[in-house]
Amino acid sequence: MAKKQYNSGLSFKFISVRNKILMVVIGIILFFAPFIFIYFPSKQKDLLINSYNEEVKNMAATVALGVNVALIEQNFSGVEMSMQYAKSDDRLTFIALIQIDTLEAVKGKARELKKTAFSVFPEKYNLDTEIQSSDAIIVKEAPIQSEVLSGKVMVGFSTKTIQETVKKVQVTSFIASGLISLLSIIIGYILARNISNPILILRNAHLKVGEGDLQQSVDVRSRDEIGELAVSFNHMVEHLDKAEKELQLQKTRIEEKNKEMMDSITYSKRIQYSLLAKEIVLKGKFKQHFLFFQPKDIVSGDFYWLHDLSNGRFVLAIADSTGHGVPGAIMSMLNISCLNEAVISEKLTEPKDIMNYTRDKIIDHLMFDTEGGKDGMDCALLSFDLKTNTLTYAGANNPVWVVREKKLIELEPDKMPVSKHQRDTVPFKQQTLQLQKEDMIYSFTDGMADQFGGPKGKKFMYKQLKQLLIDISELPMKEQRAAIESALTAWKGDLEQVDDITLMGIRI
Amino acid sequence: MKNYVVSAERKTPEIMFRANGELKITGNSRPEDGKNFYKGAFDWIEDFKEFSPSTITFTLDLDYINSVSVRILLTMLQTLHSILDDKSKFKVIWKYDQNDLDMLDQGKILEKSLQHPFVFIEKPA
Repeated sequence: MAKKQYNSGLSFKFISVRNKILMVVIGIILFFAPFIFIYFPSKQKDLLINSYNEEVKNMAATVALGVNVALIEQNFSGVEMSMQYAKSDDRLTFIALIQIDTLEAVKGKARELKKTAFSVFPEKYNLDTEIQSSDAIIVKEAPIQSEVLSGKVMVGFSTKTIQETVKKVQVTSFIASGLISLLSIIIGYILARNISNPILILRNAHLKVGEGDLQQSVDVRSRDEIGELAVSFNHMVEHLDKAEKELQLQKTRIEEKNKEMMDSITYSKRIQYSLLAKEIVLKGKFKQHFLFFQPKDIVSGDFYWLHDLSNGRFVLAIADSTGHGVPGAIMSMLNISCLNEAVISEKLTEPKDIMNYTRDKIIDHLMFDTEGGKDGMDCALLSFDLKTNTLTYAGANNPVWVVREKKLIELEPDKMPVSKHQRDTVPFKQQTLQLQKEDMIYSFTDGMADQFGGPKGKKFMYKQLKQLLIDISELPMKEQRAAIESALTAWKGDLEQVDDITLMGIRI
Repeated sequence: MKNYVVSAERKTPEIMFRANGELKITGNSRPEDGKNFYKGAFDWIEDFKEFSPSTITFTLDLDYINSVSVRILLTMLQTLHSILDDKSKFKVIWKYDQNDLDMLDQGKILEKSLQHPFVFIEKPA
């Protein structure tokens, strides 16, 4: 039996089942103890003494009767004979015949009773006619009434034997009750232990299961509720063990599947990257630039694309395909392929034409889509002529901002996407802007402005973005990028990234 | 007729459609599978039609809508618009954060597409 102190989380003091039963048994015994040890023996004693008293009384009465009869017959030896009855009793201390005369009142004195003892046995006994019963002696009287004399018989019996008897009875009673109590305690203890042992076995098995050992089973076969508990416990542990094994299996399967998926997505990322504008190309085209590109998942719906145009200029696209993750990435492939077609096969050079063509192509490709084929992209197309420092821009929902000497010039896009739409027959418009040296051009997708965060968990918003870009517009490229990254991280906090984020800055 | 209630979750809004014609969508609408998420709402609207309601007040209080949700919302607006004969009893309330001009814009675009006036309510930041 383990004596481990188990903190089962219960807030009250722990008393074991065995001790509880034991406490009840002892409590019952203690409750009855006063009766057993005090009341009954004393009651016995009283009974014995009372019966002794009665015996002595009867003795006195018997003798008195004999004496009365003898006196009536004037048979004096009969008187002696009556007394003989008492004299032969070992317990007798004395027996006496007392004559009582009533003295006449004389001269104002009250009537007196004169008691004279005229026959005392044993003869040498010093009788006090007024003697009363005490612990050592029981004195009883019986009246004698005759013509010859009146008085009483007084007998005194020693209590010695009765005391011995009382003691014997007390001791016997004490021993008997003591034995019974002891037996009860022992039985109580055995009972308590028999009940608590299987419970302890069950408890220990439960503890082990709680710690993770699912191979436990209990061998308790008592034919009662505890036996039932044991059987059901064993079943339960079996089930738990099975379930645990199944869970492990599923977990392993899921982990394997997940790893496979992650591996294939990571592989896709490389492929996607091969279609995005190369860093080396961007460096070659722009005096200075930085790119903040942070997909939400591993592969991205956002993309940035650059291509030479047939008129000697080149075009840059910052786009946000519908969706993100795998579907977004697949859509971005289609979008890029349509853009490529526009500038390579169709040799289009004007951003608005490129947008219009690309839109038509995307709509065509998705014509048979069961969900309505409304996918496509938001996009900013920037065509640069760096000899004349002109920027031609067409936009679908994505604006372009130019910061010049801390002032922001907004190039507003058309409020429609490059995809099937209510207004998809409306041609895109385009704008041309004369750029100046040191101008900062910012092109981005809505990922940054839509990021939730800050003290109230709200969106970052364009207003804040404008201010941020104006503030950093005169910093070197690396620092601008760092500033944007830290602003985003600070804003986002623990919240998840809402969408792909793309922000490109170009210094003229 | 029972009300239709969906609790808000991380990527989906709270939907509270009452049989008395008060319809509300509140929160963040960027479900991965928009069609699936809004199916229950559309089913309820179908049942709602049978009840021949006399007024509909549709309150949209959104922090974020992804493009899928925008399309679905437009369809929903159009469906609701078609239920009532007296179009003046169809009220669309578009709530937007004071600083979120994007959301205001989105509301204006939907208003234009639906060709039915919205009530724009600005919420303090």
